Amino acid sequence: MGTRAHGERQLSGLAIDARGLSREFVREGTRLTAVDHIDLQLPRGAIFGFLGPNGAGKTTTIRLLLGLLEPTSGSVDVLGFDVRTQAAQIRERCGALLERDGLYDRLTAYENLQFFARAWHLPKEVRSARIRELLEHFGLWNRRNDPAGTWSRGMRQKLAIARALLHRPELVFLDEPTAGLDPAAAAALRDDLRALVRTEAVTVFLTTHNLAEAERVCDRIGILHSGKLRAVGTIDQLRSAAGSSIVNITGAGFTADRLAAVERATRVQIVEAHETALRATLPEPATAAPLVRALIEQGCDIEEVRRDTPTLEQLYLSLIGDTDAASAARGSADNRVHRGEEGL
Amino acid sequence: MIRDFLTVTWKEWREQLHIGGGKRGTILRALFSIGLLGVLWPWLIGPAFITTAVPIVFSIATSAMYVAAIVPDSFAGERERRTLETLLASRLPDSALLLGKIAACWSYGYLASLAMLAVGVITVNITHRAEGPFFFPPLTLFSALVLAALAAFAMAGAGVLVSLRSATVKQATQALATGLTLLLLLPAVLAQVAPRTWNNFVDWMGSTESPFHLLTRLGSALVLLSLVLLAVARRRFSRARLLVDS
Repeated sequence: MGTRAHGERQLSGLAIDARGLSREFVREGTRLTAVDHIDLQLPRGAIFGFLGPNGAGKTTTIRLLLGLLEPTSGSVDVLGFDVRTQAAQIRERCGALLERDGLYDRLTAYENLQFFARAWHLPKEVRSARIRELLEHFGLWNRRNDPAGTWSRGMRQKLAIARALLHRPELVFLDEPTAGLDPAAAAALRDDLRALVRTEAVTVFLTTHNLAEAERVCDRIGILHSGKLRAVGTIDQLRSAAGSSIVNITGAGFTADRLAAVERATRVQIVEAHETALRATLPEPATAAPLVRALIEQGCDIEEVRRDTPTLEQLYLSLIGDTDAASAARGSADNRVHRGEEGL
Repeated sequence: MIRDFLTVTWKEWREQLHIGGGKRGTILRALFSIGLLGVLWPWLIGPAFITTAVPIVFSIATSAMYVAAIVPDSFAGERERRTLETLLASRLPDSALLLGKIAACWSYGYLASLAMLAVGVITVNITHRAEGPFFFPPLTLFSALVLAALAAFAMAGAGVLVSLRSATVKQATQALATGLTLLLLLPAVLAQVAPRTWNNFVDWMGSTESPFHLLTRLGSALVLLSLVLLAVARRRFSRARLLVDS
C-alpha cells in the first residue's frame, strides 16, 4: 500500500513497554479491576495478537495504550512516549480501528477519509492521492461519493481499516479487523498486514476471536483473561511452554496384555491402541522415554514416537481456564489427528 | 491548533449539510426556514421589522434557536453513533475538538440568523415598496449583529456543555429545552417572588430606548455568560471522562 512518505522510522526499541499496568474502575461503589498488572514488551515491526474472551480487558488495554485512559498504577511507554504525559505524541503516531468502525454515516467515504487526513495534517497534494490509493486498494473507489451509512458491514470495515492506515502510522491498533469481511477480503487483509510490517516496519496490535487467523498472521501472541496477561510470546514459545501430554506411537506388537503391563509400570494411560499404533496420555510433566522403554521391554517394536502439538485454540482454552470447552476442543483436535493418521 | 480547529469545524459543517438526505433535503429545509422566518414574519410585521428594535430581538432569538437545534448533536451525537471513541483516539487536541464544535454550531446559528435578516429586508422592501426603501439604522444593525453573535455563542457553549454529559441526542435536547424553559420562566418567577428587584432590573435595562445601551448591557451579560460556559466546558472536557461515561 505505497511507500513511506515521512522518512525512515526508528526500528530499534520497543513499540510497547508496559510494566505493572493496571486500571481499576469504581462502579456503584464496587472496585473493578479491568486490567491487572500487565507486563508486556512488544518489539517494533511485529504483529501482536491480543487474545481473550469478551470482557477480558482488551479494549481497556487499548484505551490505556492510546492514552485515552490513565493507568491506576504501573507505567507504559508507547513508541517511546509515556502515556501519562505524552499521550498526544502517541496518538499522533498511531492508527486505530476500535470496537466500532467509528465512521460518520452522513459523510461520504471520501469525506470520512478526508476528515482524518486533515486531522493528521497530510499535505493537500498527498491527501487526495493517498485517499485514492487506499480506496482503490480496498475496491471502494467507485462508491467513494456514497454516504458511509448506506454501506454494508464489510465495506464499512474496509473503509475503517483504510482510515486507520491513512497517515502511515507507526503503530496500528486493530480491534477485530476481519469481522464482517468475506473470506477473500479477510485473507487479503492478512496479506496487507504482513506486507505493512515487512515493507514499512509498522507494528500491528491486533485483537481477534479468530484463533486460526491469529495463528496465521501474528508473530507474537498475548492471552488476556480477567484483566491478567496469562501468557505472552511467539506461538512456538507458547506451545513449548504448554507442552503436550499426548503421545502417538507407531510400531508393532501392541497387544492388550503387553499394554496392560506397560500401564502398570509407567502410570501412563493408553487412550487408544491397535496392533500397530497406540495413543497414550503421559503423567505430567513427563517425557515419553519411560513409556518407550517399557514398550520395548515388553517386546513391542517402535517405529515412530510423536508428541501432539497443541493448537492455539487448545492453548487459549487451557489458559483461560475453561475446562469444559478445553476438553471439547481437545477432543475435536484429537479427532482431527485421528482422521489424519492411518491405523489410528 | 487553528488548523485542527478548522478541521473539526469543517467536519461538523459537512455533517450538517448532509442531514435529511443530502442536497435536496438541505435545500428543502433551508427554503422552509427562509419562508417562515425570512419572508412570512417580516411580511406580517412590515417596516417595523427594520425601523424599530425588532431586528435586534429577532436576530438574537433566531441565532440562539438555530444553535439550539443542532448543538445537542455535538458530543451526544458522536456518542450515540459510536464515533466518539475514534474521534478521541485521533491526534486532534482537546481544545480543537471542543472549540471546533462550538464554532461550528455558532457559525451555523449566526449565519442562519444573518440570512434571515437579509431576506427579511428584501421581503419588507418588496411588500412595502411604495413606502420604501427601508434599511436598518446603523446602530440597530450593529447591535443586532453583535448581540446575535454573542447569543449564538452563549447558546453554543451551554449546548456543548449539556451535550458533553448526555448519553443520547434526545437526552441532550430534553436537558437543553428544560434549561431554556426555566430561563424563559425566570422573569415571571422573579416578578412574582421579588417584584421590586425585577422592576428595578426592567427599569435599568429599559432606562433608555437607545440600542447602544441594550448592546452594552445585554452584550456584557452575554459575554460574561459565554466565558463562564466556555471555562466550565473546557474544564469538564476530558477524554477519559468522555469514554467512561459513554
